[in-house]
Amino acid sequence: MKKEEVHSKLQDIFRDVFEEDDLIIKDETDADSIEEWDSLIHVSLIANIESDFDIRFSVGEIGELKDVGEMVSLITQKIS
Amino acid sequence: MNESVLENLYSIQPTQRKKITKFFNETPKANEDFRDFLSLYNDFLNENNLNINELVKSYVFLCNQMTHSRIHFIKTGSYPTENQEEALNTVYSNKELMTNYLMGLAISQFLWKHHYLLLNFYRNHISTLEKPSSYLEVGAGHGLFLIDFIKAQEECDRIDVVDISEAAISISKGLLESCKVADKVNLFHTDIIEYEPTEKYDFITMGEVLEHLDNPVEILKKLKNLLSKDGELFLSTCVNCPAPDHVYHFKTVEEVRALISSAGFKVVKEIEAPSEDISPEKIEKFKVDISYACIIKGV
Repeated sequence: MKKEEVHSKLQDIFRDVFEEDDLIIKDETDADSIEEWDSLIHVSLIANIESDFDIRFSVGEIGELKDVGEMVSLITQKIS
Repeated sequence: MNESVLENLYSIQPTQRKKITKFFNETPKANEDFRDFLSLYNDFLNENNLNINELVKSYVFLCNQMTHSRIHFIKTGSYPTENQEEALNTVYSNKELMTNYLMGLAISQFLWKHHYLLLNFYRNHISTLEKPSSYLEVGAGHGLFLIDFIKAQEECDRIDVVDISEAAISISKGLLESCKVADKVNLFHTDIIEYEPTEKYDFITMGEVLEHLDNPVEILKKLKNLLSKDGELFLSTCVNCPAPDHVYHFKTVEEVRALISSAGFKVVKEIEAPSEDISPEKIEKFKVDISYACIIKGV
């Protein structure tokens, strides 16, 4: 799956978790960009990403998921 | 120092900002206590060739561990570690991991509202004790509750600590030395089940231990026998709180109370503190973790 496809699928996850159909995410989107993005939502995001992409993040990788760009990079790496 | 530590933390993990900022805005005393903690802990860190940045990294490490465990919990409904032996092999016997873990837990006492509420519950209670002559702490861990007791009850002349973790004993020892009270405390690196002191204790603290055990009622029954006639025990644990070394899954606070009662204790006072400020319905729906503490006496 190419990065663009990963980004698109990730956006669907974000829209579902944040319950906002028009949400647009960019590489620099992080918890400071979205008001509702707190630690509880963050867990939900990671759980959904793991399920939808059929991947598992290690403890160390969880710490790397600071923004959308890092998420896309790591997801792309793990599914390739 | 507070602000620089927090900004360092937020640069590493932006998701921490909102909750901590909201908590400190609503509870300024927590921010003051955090400052006092950093001052105390900074001395301990320097004396052990560590620094505040490493404390922040330990906290981030802890948060990542907890997140990883919670994701497993969300998917399976169970804690990731199956039993005490697995926790011993993967966590307690790993000194570096335990040291990071405990340092992270220490700072969480001030950054996590639910942990801070339990710390205050403890601090308020120990300040009211009528000069207990003996104190036992089981699972001192990061050592902060131990230090608080020593400060609140300076005249207590028998203070013993039992911990199964070498790292916890080492951290507690280091903190005691940093606070110049090491000579007041006897540290025992052993399993509390095998601990046979010659005298009973007026006050026992056992914070965040029950959830680490295959058979928590066994330890409570042991402690009942270690309490003096009118002795009290401070107990804390948590509900729906997955972690790398948590093995006993309390699903409700009522389960904790039932366990306490089955071991022959009554609850004198208690506090419940969910980790999120959301409705009880959402707490139940998302199985949000709840911290619980109480003062109990034998019946």
